[in-house]
Amino acid sequence: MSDAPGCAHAREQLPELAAGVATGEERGTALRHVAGCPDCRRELDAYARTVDDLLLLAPEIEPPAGFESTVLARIAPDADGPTPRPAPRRRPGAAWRRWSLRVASLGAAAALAAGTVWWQTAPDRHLAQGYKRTLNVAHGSYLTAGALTVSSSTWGTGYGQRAGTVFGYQGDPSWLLITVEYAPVAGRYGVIVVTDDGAEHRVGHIRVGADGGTYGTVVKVPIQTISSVELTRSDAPTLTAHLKY
Amino acid sequence: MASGDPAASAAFVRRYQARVFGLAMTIVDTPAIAEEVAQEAFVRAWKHAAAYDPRRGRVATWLLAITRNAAIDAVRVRRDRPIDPADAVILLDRDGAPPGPGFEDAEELREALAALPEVQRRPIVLAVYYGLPLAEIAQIENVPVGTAKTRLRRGLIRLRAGLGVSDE
Repeated sequence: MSDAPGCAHAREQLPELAAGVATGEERGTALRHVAGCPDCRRELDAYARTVDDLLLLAPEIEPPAGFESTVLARIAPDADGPTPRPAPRRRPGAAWRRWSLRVASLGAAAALAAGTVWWQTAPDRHLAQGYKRTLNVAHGSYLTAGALTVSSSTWGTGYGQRAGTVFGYQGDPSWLLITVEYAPVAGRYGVIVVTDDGAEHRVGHIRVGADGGTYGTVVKVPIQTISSVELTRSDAPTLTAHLKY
Repeated sequence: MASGDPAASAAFVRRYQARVFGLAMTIVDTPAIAEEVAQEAFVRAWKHAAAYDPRRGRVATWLLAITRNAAIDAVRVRRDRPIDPADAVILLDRDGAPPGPGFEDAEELREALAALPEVQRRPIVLAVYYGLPLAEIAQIENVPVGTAKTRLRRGLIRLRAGLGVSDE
């Protein structure tokens, strides 16, 4: 055990941190300590392994027939895999379908409105219809999305972890919608759009609480020219989404 | 898996599909959705294979963590189905199939989890399997947030102690 300042407090938080239930403030404080304390980092790793190993206790159940071939077909376009099926354009996965349908629930009015657009949810049965309506009414030509992940490890653990999703809509006007489900540190993040030419465009701020956050804004640059969207905060890892596949 | 070798890909899927689908079923409890979640987990694993760090654990736990996250996404969408931690607890407690070669220590963990008081085990399951925040765990358990937090913390500490993990 180390006696470094802050160890006692941080260690109290480690079980919650490993289980993913620490609140934003606690998580931030503990992670900052762990980043500079090898003993506590080892301790956190040990808890994290215990938590991860709990997932091994779920029973093994054989999936339905055809599961393996379906999986191989889905990964084949990226992997030059064994399936004879011609590689289609990137097949949207379940998460993409789900989120794109949710985006649609914003409705055409929100998509067309000048200024900021906000996230709304709607019953699933209305979503597909809303999606089509949004594209039709808004004369949209392009809807894309990218996973938001923790892209810097400066502040400790969490690197590579999924943080949320960024959606881009090319229409009149074009907009971005950012949903954050997880961030190592809660608070206000600056939103920066990086275009293909390397230029950075500040497009506002998103407030991320313990339960995440959502922010939408109209953007002036063409969605197709956006290479990434970054959420930055001086005391937290940057969250990045790449919109190009 | 990221090698691009079709045979290796097939072998990987075949090796882990029962674990992945089993975990998805444990969390989402609907075969059709569990199948979609399990597929999504393999696709995500494939795309992010470079992020796997062998020093941080075995590939099975990495893949299952991806599966858990995909399943949690699916559960969050299906707000119509209330989460019942008893489902998972029953599965965890059951005299299930042996964990298989290379996973013998999982049986030790199962015993340690089963040995916990239920009030400590349930918050752990709700957090680890369902990804619920403490506030929701407290609501389900009908206790103050501080109590849920204390139970989860003590449970995890006891789990580690039960596994013979020391602080040294």
